[in-house]
Amino acid sequence: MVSTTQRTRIIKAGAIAFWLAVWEIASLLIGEELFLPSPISVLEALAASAVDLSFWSAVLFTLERIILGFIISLSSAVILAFLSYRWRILGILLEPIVKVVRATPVASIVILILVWVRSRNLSVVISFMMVFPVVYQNVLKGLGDTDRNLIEMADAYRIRTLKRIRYIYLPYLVPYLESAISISLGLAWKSGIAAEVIGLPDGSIGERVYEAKIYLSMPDLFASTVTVIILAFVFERVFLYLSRIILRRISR
Amino acid sequence: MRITIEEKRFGDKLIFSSVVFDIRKGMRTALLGPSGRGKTTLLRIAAGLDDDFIGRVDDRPEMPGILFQEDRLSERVSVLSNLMAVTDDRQKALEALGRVGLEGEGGHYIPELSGGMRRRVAIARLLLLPSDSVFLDEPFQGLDGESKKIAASALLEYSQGKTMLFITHDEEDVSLLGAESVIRL
Repeated sequence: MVSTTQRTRIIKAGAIAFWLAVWEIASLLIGEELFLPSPISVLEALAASAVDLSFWSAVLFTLERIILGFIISLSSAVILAFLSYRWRILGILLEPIVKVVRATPVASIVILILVWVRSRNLSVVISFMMVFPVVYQNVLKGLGDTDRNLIEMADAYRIRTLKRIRYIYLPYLVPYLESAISISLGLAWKSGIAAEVIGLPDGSIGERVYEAKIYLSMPDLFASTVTVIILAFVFERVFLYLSRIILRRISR
Repeated sequence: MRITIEEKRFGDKLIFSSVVFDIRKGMRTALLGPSGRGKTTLLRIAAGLDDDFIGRVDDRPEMPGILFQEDRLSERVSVLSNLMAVTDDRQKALEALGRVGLEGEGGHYIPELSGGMRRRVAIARLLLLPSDSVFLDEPFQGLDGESKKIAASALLEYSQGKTMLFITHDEEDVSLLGAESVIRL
């Protein structure tokens, strides 16, 4: 007897196998690796990269910068959202800049930032800028949606600020924060790599993607992309798991 | 405490007009009457939660302990965490739970509790608040015979020597909380 969970897993694995088969068939039909390399070629390129030290060095270079930008952005967005909620004037002051950053195309921001920052640190800044509006707006929305009755109770009972955050605001913020983290992590990776492709910092994944394009090495391009997808997926899972544990422990 | 209300409205609806209520210091006063007569509004004005009216409150207590009509518990944290929000003393919080007959229930989350248990958690939280007066809005809402007695005993102990104003629909509650005067609306 197959359980529902096992059945779901089998169906999901089947969906992946289906799309890999579509990819393989499409590649065979096109018959030109330059346009669409086969899954096997990409796997071979991935295997070759896996034993290449410079590949892992590029992965580490990009990973640490995107994560650094993400963590700085997450912390500052949460703090500023709380301050904006407390002092409305700050929220009004930040609103236009948050909206502008959110609406501006990544490429425009990258080129502008390149004028001010060395390309090595470009992905830190870009990751920061892409994550900030999402987290800030989500947290502010979560704070605004906190039960008014609980806030009145906290006022009437003279509950201190830190306790209010821990026992009243934070428990209600958890779903908003989780959603913000999930969305913004994906954004951080996409925009960070895009910034590297434009800014070409030495020894980054973005540089490898760009070189693969220049030398028409499509399997390498796909291999780098697959690596980024796996990294983004793993990091999102790990970060969400850790943040869930921390948030629940704090507010318990 | 003297509450003078020249006018209190909710939108177009007039709730009070030219009324004066006297609540004697250190005594227990019951606010009795059917729904919709402004009992909660009067209690909120007395406790300082509502200042959107024309009139004044003389000798208003500085540290009111209020039990709201709704339990106002944070549903996403445990029973004990709801109490820890108002105290730093875990032992006192556990004792307060014991005083309302909820020993050993601290680890539960609010949605796991019955309506009566929630009410008692709200009462236990009130017991932890330092106050010079007590305002109770339908304190025994959802409580059955035995738990009502336990809650009444805890509230009477907590309110000793303090001014108390409480709302009820039930004449029995008036004697249960030993009301010394009654305001009928």
